[in-house]
Amino acid sequence: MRDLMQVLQEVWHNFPIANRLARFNVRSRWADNYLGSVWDYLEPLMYIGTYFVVFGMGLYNGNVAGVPYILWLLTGIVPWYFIQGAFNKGLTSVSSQLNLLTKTNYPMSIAPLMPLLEEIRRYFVLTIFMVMVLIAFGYHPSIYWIQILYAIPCMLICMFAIDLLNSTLTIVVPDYKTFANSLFRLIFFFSGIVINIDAKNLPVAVVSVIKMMPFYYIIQMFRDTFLYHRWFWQQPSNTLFFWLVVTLILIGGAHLHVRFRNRFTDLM
Amino acid sequence: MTDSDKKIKVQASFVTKRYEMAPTNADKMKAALSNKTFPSFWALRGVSFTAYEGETIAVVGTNGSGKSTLMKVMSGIIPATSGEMKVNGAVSLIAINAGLRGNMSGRENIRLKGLMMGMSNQEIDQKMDDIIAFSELGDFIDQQVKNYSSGMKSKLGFSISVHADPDILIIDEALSVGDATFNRKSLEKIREFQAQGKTIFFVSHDLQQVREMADRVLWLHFGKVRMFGPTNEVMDHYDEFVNEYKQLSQSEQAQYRNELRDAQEQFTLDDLYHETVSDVASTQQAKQLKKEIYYEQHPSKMARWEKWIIVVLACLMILVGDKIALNLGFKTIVEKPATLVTGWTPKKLHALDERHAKETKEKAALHKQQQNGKRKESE
Repeated sequence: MRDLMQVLQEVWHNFPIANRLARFNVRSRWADNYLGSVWDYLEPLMYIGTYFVVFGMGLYNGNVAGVPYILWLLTGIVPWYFIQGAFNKGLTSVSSQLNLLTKTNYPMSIAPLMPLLEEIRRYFVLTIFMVMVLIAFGYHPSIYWIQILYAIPCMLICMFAIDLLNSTLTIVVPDYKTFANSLFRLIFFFSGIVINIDAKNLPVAVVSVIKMMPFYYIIQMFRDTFLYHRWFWQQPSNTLFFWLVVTLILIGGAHLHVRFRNRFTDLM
Repeated sequence: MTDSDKKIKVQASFVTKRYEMAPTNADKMKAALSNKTFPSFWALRGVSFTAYEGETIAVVGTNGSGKSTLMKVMSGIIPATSGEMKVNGAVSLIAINAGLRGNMSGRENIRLKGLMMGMSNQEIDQKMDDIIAFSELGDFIDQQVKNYSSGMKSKLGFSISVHADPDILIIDEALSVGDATFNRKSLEKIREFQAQGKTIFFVSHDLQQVREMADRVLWLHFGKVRMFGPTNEVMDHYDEFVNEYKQLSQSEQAQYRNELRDAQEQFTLDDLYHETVSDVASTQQAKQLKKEIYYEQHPSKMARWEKWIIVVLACLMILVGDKIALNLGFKTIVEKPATLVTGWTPKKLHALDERHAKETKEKAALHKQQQNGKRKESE
């Protein structure tokens, strides 16, 4: 708990430098390519197109869970791309910045924050694209859209917690990165991004357990906001469960981070 | 001016650094987590010294005497195993190709390091031309650093570090990697820093350079301070030692090295304490000494109340998770708490599925009815 307070304080005080470094990283990542950061957007759009053809038209005949498949897919996959980017970069956030950060006076805890800052711009651009498609399909802004102010913090806090934990575990446990990467690819299919978990003939308990996973909850929040017009307090148990999981990950992640950060250079 | 008037910049008290000689990283981890011990090697064995503001201190010693380790501990790259290293001010470490990224151009590396040192983008823009001019890289500045020669890399690293305006400058053998003209320029820059009253540490094998530049010399000998004092005094002794050492035959040299290496492997903190405690008179001083020698930055441990909160949260999480998975209402749980466990029998799970299927069917039927009703209305 005290470790968590310390980490949060450090992150709060060093936010500007984390932001500057994140922007620098984004700029330098695509510096060698002709199209530059266009790839950041081209790749998701290519996947969205493919999923739409294969699943939307092939599997679901255009409609799923009472809404056009393209809208159902977009509301899920746009936050998913943020989650995926933050997750993958988060795994190596400390180990890749270690050389640079140890030589400065900045605390190591800003490293797990940087993946979020690197990904957030693409998320906003894709969200604007998504909103335009929604409006084109006749889904006009409503009072429920305010809930995005709850959904985005959910996503950010959850990803920070996971990155804080993962970035330490990657260094401490040599096999962890491979494990987490393969697990994450599985979670993609269980998070109801392209395949509707509800409609299958799975036992109810299994579906409920799948829906309890934090990523599913986040995606569900976005869909509730834009498509189904439900408030988050209408499913109190799931909301409570999500925050309990996130809090525990935060506490555990912060403790491991503080405990091991002095030894990171020894262990690399 | 006496020592007490000057501001202390760096103070080391009984700093040690132990390396575990574990074969793999996984083994290192095991050693960190459990009490499993591997053979250890003490790169530093209780180094103590005090450096004041405006001093230039040279660190000399044979290869493997712990010079680089000490510099790394001082700049905060690696933690000390025990003892304390107090540093007042911003430290800038210049080592051969320190922290440059190969897949970026020199210009980008300047920006990145500048950001890391806390400069804003405007400040970096202002200093950019100076840094590039100082580095003598010319058009190569826009090439990727991985294509640089080692001389170019160290020139770039040196230029960036000296332009960051550090309080304490630590130069690890980076003064003698450039060519003669660049070295002269670097020395001038160092003199400039000296004139500005900055504290400088430098590691060098160039004994002539040490005599020219340093105010005091720290002589490290296999992880211990052999001598620390005014330049000429220490350097005379050091020269003497080097000459004596050179006159030994090859096998004698090897034997000498091995003996000291063994001592570095067998070293314990208790040894250090017993060695030093004989110099102090009172028991109070001995106590203080003990505290300083065994000082360790303990990894943070959770307090009991923190553990309790975690246990409570975890139990709550399992409870809520169970409730969601079995689709139980709050009322059912209060009335029949046993359902939280008995609900997991295959029979009950099957019943849950059937109930759910029925509900979905009813819902679908209701939905159809409503739609039909709407259609009729519109007709």
